[in-house]
Amino acid sequence: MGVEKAIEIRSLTKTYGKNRGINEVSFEVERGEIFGFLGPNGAGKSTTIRCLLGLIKADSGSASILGMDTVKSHKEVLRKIGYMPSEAMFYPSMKVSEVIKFAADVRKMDCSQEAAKLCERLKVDTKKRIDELSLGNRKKVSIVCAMQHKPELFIFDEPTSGLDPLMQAEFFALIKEYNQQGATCFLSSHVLSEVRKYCGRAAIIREGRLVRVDSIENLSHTNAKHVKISGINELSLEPMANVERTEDSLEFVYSGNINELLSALQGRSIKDLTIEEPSLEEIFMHYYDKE
Amino acid sequence: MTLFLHELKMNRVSFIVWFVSVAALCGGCIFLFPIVEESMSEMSEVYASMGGFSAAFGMDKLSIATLEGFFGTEIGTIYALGGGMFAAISGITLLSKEESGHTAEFLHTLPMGRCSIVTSKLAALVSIITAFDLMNFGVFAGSIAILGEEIDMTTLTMYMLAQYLCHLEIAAVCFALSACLKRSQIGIGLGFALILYVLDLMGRITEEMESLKYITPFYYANATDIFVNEGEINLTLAAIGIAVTIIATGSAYVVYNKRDIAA
Repeated sequence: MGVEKAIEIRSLTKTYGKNRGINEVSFEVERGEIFGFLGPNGAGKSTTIRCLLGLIKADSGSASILGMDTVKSHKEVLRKIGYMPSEAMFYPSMKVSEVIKFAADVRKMDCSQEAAKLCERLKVDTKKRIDELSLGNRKKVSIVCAMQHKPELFIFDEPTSGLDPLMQAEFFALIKEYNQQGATCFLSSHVLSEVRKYCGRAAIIREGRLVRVDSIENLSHTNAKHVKISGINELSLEPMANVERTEDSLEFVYSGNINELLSALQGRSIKDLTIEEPSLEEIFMHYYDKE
Repeated sequence: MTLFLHELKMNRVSFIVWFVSVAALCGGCIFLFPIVEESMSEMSEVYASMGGFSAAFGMDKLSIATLEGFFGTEIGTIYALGGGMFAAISGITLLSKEESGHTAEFLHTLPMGRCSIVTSKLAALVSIITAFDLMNFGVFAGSIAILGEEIDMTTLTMYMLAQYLCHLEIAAVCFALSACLKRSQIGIGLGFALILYVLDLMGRITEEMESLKYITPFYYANATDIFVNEGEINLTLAAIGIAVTIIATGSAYVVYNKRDIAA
């Protein structure tokens, strides 16, 4: 019998009345991975995570975390997880130190040493009340609560929104350290650059359906080129994406044969031509766009 | 235990405000009794002959010129309303506040399980109501002792016991409602308590509506009835109340375990 996967999702489906949720989502996250979960707003990222955590019940399908069924072994699964929601909210009248201790006490663990280390690195003022904190500072408290018990699996839902760049860097430094100690990280994000920088593999979800699961290297690989032309603002060519026009310029992502592009430009009075690698955002856009 | 203590802490301000308010009102009324006693003896016959109004407040059964009568008609009314509203507010917010305050994701992703969450919150609710009734019992007994007046302690104890059951019943139904709600709806809790109180009044005014006594817990916990009957509580109605409390509590577990938790 092989080593159990960190996360195993099998045909998970959840609908909210007439609204779309997720449909037949299946993928696996290996132990020790930093795994990205990408998709536009409303694609189903949070629904998938909330099913995993038992906050909502799936209509069909199943999921297991570290070899345990997320429904049958709900409590034991949560014991092994450190979760950070996209909106970090706590009891407003409590002090930061009380929230952190409350989370540790529920786990029946003394996490004071690790919590102190995390608070120092993330510059968390533990004496402040929650209602005095900005979103960014609440996020930092959430990071401490998710990490202080050194879980085997981290689940982060858009963790860096609201964090300043320095704290984002510190957050990922912490992730890398825990990852080197063997922890797995499942990271839902909009920020493609951070997924490319820190994740080994990623899943892309769109309109509730899983589009692709692959290594970042394979996902980023494309024949598409970013083309900028001055002197004309229209061109009869397929397939062109992300087309932007001004009075005398045309910019687009072209994923066809480069010879056809050159043929189409033949005889046209162009002033300048640039053909370069597309940005990561442009590469991923075609996964996001409706078919 | 951690969540239980956390809930007690979260509810302490509300508890203090309600306890001080109700105790001050009821205790103040007890201290007023010697001052108004004389004028009450002149008015008691008038109060007793106001038809439906007298029946609604039990003034046709007890003379408000006596401490028992004054307690049953005046203080009993204040305590029934104050205690009922406190029980309703405490119950209706306990589960739903996590979703309305957006703390549900934090709480429900800690390794507790929904049954443990409901149990901890329920234990906190019962503790709060027990403390409220016990402390008010102390205030009543203490105020009467300070005044040097005498009241049958067995009757007073039975009255407080009936009030305790009534408060638990209201709190349990509101707790079950809280398990269904995604937002804290204090208005629903307060409205529920007040409707039950009005049903009690209606059941007393007209014979045709007497069957309302099976619905409202204020009927079996009515001060005048208990003082007139020297501490005897209508056991059938109290048993129905206990059954409602148990069913409502069980429903809270079932509903909360099954439903999706909003972010």
